[in-house]
Amino acid sequence: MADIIVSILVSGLVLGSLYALMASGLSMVWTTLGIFNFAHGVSMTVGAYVAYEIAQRLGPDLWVGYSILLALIVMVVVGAAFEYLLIRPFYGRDDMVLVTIMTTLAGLTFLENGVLTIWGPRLKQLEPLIPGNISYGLVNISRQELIIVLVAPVILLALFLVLNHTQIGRAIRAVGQNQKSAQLIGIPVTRMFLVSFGLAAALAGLAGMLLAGVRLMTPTMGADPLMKALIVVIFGGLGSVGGSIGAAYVIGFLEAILIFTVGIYWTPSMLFLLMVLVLLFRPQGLFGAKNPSSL
Amino acid sequence: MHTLLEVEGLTAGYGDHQVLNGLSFTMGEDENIGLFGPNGHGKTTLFETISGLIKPASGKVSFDGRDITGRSPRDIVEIGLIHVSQGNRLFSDMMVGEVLALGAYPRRARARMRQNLDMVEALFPRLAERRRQKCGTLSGGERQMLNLAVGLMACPRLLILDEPTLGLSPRLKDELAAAIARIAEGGMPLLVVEQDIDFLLRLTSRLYLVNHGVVARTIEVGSDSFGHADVMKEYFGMTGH
Amino acid sequence: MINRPLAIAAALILLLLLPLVLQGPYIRHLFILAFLFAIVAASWDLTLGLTGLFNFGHIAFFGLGVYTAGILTTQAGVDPWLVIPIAGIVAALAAFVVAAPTLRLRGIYVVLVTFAFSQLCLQVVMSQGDLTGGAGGIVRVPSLRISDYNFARDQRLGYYYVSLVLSLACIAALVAIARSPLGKTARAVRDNPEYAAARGIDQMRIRLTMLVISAIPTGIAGALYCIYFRVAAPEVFSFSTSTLILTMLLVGGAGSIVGPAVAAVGIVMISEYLEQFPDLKATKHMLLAVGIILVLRFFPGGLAQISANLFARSPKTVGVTPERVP
Repeated sequence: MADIIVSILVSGLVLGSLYALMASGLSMVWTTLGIFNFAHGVSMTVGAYVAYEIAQRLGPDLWVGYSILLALIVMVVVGAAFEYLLIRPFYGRDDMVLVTIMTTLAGLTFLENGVLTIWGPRLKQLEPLIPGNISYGLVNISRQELIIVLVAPVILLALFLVLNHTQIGRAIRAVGQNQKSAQLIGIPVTRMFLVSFGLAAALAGLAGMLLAGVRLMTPTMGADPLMKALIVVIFGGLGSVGGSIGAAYVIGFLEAILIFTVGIYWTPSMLFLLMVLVLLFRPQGLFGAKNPSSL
Repeated sequence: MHTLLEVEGLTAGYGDHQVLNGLSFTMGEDENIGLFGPNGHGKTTLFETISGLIKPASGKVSFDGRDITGRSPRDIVEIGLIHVSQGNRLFSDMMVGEVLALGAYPRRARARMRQNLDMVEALFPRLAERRRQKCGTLSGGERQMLNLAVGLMACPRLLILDEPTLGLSPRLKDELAAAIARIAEGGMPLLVVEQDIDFLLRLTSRLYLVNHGVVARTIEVGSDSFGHADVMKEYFGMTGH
Repeated sequence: MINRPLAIAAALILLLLLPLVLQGPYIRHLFILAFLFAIVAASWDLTLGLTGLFNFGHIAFFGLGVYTAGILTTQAGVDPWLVIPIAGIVAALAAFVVAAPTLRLRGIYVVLVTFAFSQLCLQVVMSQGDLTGGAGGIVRVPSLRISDYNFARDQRLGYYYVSLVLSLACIAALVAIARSPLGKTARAVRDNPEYAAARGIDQMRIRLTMLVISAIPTGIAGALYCIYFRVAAPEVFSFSTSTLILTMLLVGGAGSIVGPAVAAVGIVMISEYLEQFPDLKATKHMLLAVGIILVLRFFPGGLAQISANLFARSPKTVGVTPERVP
């Protein structure tokens, strides 16, 4: 019995960490720009594939960590491209929220099929940062999963520090709360959007690159995480980056428990039901503050 | 006296609705200017055009000899022209201390952030007490003080104040007016819109009556008793047509 | 300036006579697909375009229609003719289910919930293999028959006319609803919700009504789709199908009802033409995606706006104000 509990805890931690990396970027873009980036899931996919491609070219002798670092830089550019191509042309329109939903959905389709076209449908794998497993008492976990569990909080802490204790982080938050006032302070609003998107894409890409060391890569690997990220941000409250991170771990654990109790086929339905219940009875999420009817 | 701000024939508005109809005035570096007049006649629009939030349809704005017409708000802030907007709700989820720090965002202001913070907290002790309080929970008066303080954090060379005492209780009005007077005494050129004519008369050396999107009347505030009543007569004389 | 009623009559006559002139089954196949997707696109426009309801789960109604037909015909032996209206009812019920959580929500939350709902349907279909055939789907769905006449064996002539009549009926009904007081109210709710609320209009009731109405033709189209192809596959819930129909909606002009239906014809033609090159399948989707972005950027009013200029009598606003979709 104890080993089952431990195994669930471990799964929950791993899932939660990945979801937290995904959801934080999604939430950040939402709080800055007020839009939901449907192409966020595919950022995970693109990140993994770009890292894969770089790793292939650099050769198997070089540690995959370097490929990941390079790929992260690429992802920042990809994120900025999202903003420039999919959001900026439509900024200021009355129906901006709806239009950007459609453009980001289009972006999702484009990139997913782009990945399919370039790399093909065959499953691929990225080398884990440190191969092998670790066993400690009842805990049995691959080293890559352990890295995920350790790295995610560190990165999220860094994100927290940036958002709360640097000028650029404050500027990003300010732009999300009152764009006009931000402009009057001299904050370059468009640049803040670019930074938000770039950062969000890098975070999602990192999640993808880490995941690719544990599971096989497919062009559609971002679809399920996007749905989970969606559930997480609703659960945690769309207006709060910190709330999304907390909710991510909660959902991670819940998913692990559900997979064990009701099985893998019913788990998505259960999570969806949970999301609906949250929306019905506490639409601002567990940790959220913003009034959702104002969206 | 060196001309600090010059507005020539400015026309601007929102969408199809033109509010400014060729507005012109000048302001020197050693003087404070007041604007007053009926609501909806262009005072806020004028400020938003000067500070770059709105692009004018025609006309020119120059600051310290440089043409700043149509420049972005960011550029205009970097030059030192700071607009403290009317009823600014600022950032409800951010703490007072954070917002003040953010006020020093422009490049010119970064090096002086510490000094400006000290100066601003001395000027507004209430804000110093509420450093960790979120903007959304501030009272109207405190928010106005913060608004003004944020403007000061940016090392302004000219401060534009849009109805700084609007909606405040008489006591808070006096507090804020005293603070503004101290800022003026420190040599800061002020361009102020106010409904409180007495306040303007005490603070400024020239008043412009803005009506129908143009400067309808220029009033030199002399040392002799050009008082409130005379201004009101001018004002109602204009609007009574 | 072209006379609009005349143009419409001419087009109808053309469509009626087409299969008699062009004998090949392939061209009829294209039109059948076009007619069915036209129904789906036009009904989606009722909620998304006309009412301004951010329903991103519309494809689920289609898929549910498909699977209702598939399951009832193969597992319960229901007659294919009967299953078509039943699918409409099932879709309507699904609309009620979706409506429950979404009615009270606004904006982005409606998108998220409806989107999640359609993904959930896909999940359920994939996982309940005994009922739905899982990833493989349902095969050997019986075809339409009238006594001895089997629609599957007549070079698609029968299906052509059935789908043509069905789509004309559905689209006419949708247009009638759009022009009715209900439709006008829906547009009022879309363009100015505060004002509508002040006028005492019950927004929730309008959205619910439109959502349910939009589901019925979509479910019906799904059932016919299943019977025509004799297959029910999970792809009908897929994101790419959804994107395809969204393109029709946008290119046709959100809010115009007829626009998306017309656009459906063109887009199905292009899409099926590209289907011939299986290697280009992914490229096709990429092109669609770029198309969506370009249309949104440069032709936000879609064909409907272009047509309104062409047939310029008076700037009639049968919902040709897609910019105001809140």
